[in-house]
Amino acid sequence: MRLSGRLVMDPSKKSACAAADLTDDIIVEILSRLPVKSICRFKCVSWHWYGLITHSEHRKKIPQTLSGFFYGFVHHRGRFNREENDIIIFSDFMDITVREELLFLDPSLPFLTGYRQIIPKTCCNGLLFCLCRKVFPRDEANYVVCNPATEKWFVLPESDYDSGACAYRFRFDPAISSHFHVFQILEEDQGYGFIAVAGVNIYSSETGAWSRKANGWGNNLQLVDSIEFFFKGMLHLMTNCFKLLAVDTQGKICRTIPLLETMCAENFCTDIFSSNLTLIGQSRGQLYYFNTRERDLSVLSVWILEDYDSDEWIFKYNISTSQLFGEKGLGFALIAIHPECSLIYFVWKCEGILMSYDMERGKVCVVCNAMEHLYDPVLYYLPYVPFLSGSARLEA
Amino acid sequence: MASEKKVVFLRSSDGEAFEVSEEVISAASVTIKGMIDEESPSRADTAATTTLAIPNVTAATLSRVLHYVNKHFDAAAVVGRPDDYIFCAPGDEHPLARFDDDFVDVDNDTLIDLVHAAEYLHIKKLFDLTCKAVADKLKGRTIDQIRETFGIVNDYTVEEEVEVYRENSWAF
Repeated sequence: MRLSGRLVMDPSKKSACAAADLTDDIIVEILSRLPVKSICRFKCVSWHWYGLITHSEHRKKIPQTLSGFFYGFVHHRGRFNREENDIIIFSDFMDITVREELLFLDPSLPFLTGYRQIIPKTCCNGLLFCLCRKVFPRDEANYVVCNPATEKWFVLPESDYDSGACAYRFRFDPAISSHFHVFQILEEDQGYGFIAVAGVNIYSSETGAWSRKANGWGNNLQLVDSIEFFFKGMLHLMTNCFKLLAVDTQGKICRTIPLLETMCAENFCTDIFSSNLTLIGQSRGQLYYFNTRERDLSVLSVWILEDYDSDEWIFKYNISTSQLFGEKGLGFALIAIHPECSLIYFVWKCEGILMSYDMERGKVCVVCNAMEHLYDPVLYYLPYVPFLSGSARLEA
Repeated sequence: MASEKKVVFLRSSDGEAFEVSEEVISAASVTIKGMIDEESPSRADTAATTTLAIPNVTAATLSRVLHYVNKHFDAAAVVGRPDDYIFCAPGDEHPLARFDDDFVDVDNDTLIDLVHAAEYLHIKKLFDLTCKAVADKLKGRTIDQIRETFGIVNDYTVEEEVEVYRENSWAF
């Protein structure tokens, strides 16, 4: 039988321990004003407090952190017949919490109705940005913003840009605004396969409209597709000459952060079958950059931009991947850094496990080993921090 | 007489009565506003002042609460509109920010009593302020210190505790 977490206090000792009389509702109010790291630590206080902190209603108030990863993989029905109809995309979720209730029933997002194929592209502070192909007409598709925890969703209107290629980036940060932005980066083939940025359209859920932003990004600007992230309210993109561009929601380049020469191994891996160890992410308000040097997969180097306003990347760690994955370890991918601590997450496909590695303490941990379809190429791993307060403007 | 400011008396759990402007306390406390509204038909024509019993709050706490209320909700004393400060960006110094900091710079039990009073009297701004102050005090504490502060028995089984600790070990 479970005891209540609160002691019944002897009234004569009341003044010695006034906090013991607080009701659960007040305790939740206090906890909701703590940083997420303290909250996670206080889950260990008692089973009763764990219940308070992880209760689905209370979670709407209490700050949340990384709870797992959406991932999706492609499965071809016929081995040689690679027509589009034979491609199935499986979506699943790796939960990194032990006992917490899952916040959504089905990671394949079935509440998005009318679509035959849903491919999440980005997850930003709890909202997923997905490419959704319609059941009818089959050749049409929408971009959809959805919150898997509340099942609210929004179909992005099309921009007036209908010629040529473009790439989409999605930004939502409830700490700044309850509105989201979508960046449509327009690309132009300048011949010989040279694809340069031709401009940017930005959709704001506040105005409900797309607006074309003057480019001003310079000519012949090429971007590395696989690197993009949001930090300090700005979209960060990597150019092919190893500079990070910080772009605000007006499309203006606010800052250019060059990488060190030693960080620039051309290892931005696009081959989904092989190892991928290049990543940029933020943790505890600092930017982290991970890469191998000189294509040597046995050592993963880590740099930190401790002061965002400086250009000073500081080399911090070397991590021996051969110690983590064995001498011939292949098919591992670095998928994320924990936003609140020094943990990084690897997927080791051939063993079918998700591992965490604590950079400060040098400790490895198997987080879960329930991944299936290991030999199918993985399309995406998207770190998921739930957004539950429901104030995102997502009225369908 | 009508232009005279109306006052009410609040009697604490230990019997002490405090005078406060009806207008000010009604703006601050949803609970007391409700009590006054209930009373008003019966006292409409009488000149007698109302005394309201506040059975859950001691004199020491009530006098602190009224100090806060008079600072924050008395339109004559407040610079600018009283609600403006919740929209201030971090770093913007609200005229009452210093007062608030000093107000919650008290020992734990006094602070917890203020949380209770703010909740009972339904004074949202004071509740937010005091809950945040408690949270700030808890932030760096160890698990054992939290258990001691809140008088909590560790009701985990050994296996559960190991598991939950493992999941959250990054936070230590």
